[in-house]
Amino acid sequence: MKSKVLSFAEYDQVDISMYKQIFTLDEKAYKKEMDFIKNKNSTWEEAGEVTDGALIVCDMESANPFFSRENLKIMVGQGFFHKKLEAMCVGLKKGTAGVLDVDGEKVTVTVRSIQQKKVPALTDEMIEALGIEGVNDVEQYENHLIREQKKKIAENEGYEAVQYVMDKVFETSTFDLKKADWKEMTNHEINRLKAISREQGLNLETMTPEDFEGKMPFSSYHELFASVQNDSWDRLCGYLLGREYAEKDGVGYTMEQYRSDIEDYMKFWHETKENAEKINTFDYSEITFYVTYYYKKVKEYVTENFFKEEK
Amino acid sequence: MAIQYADNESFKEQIKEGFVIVDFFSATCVPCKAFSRILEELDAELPFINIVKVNTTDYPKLGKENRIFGVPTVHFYKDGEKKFEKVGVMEVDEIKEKITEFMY
Repeated sequence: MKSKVLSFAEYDQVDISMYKQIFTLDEKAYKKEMDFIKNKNSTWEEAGEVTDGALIVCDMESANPFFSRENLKIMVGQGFFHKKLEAMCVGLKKGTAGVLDVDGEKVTVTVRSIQQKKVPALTDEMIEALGIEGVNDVEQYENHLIREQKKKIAENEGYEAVQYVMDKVFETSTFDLKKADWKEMTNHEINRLKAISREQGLNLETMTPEDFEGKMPFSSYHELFASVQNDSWDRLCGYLLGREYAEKDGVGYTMEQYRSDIEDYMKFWHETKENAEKINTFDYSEITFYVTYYYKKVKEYVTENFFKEEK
Repeated sequence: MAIQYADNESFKEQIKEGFVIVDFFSATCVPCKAFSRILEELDAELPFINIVKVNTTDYPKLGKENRIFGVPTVHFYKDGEKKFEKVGVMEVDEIKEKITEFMY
């Protein structure tokens, strides 16, 4: 391609303050993560009396076959077996028989064993065992959870901000864009869509509104072409900027990376190598790599700066 | 009871007794990863529940024999008999409902 960037604005200089949000911790999700680790490290200890949450093994005798069982394992309080009976088991002693009245049914329960869950306090060792890079103690894990929550919100809700930054950069940069490159960019996308359509037994150029239904949000080939052509202008700018940043970072798209991408595509879409290569030519994959490289940079900037500083 | 992985030889033995939840998954499926985490949470909370995982990429025969057309697919067995199946991710509360329905 002969197009080039003459000058460009840095994406991380674009003001996104109007998109910034105030972060509110999702306490429920935070507690769930903490409880998960505690539960994973909990132990079960022998106990002499049934309490709520205990895991018991018991024998039951009753005229009702449902309550007539041997070696029955119950987690008291979960209600998996019988909520009322489980509640009535609380207080029973190991090895002794208790006669319970469950909705008018006489049930004799003999508790064979009782195990009580012991939930530990979080320790640095438990956190270290998670193997999260740079997270070795409880405090670091707490911060990690907050970071993850922020990241998730920013990734889900930062789309508009990402688009804004990209538009601003395109607007304030100077490109020398060649019509031939714009055409090439459009053709790469159209040829890819043609290859995918062929795989499905369709001819992209003669597809009817019914053929498009549920596949692509267009009703004719010409409508699709116009949209691809329009997007290709920005895609070309994104590609050129992606190249700039990739070169600065010392990375590039290689044949080795292409082979790996094709393998991923084959696995994900259950495609043959031949079809995967027809759909994703090297040139198309290389363009996508640089467009995505730039997009990821902008996204990272938005994600990291999506929340207002706490005062 | 830790989460167990099945292979062509062990599967029948692993589901023949008691209440067992079977997760048919594949290594490349994103929802499978989310469901796997849900099962880990369940296992940490209710360690007496038997959970068996079947990697349908490694053991396509098990996928075919159990008529798995999409992953994740979850089967609930009681003493070797399939009681319920669902294609897609199930939340912890939904799984607990099925435990109440079929475990005893």
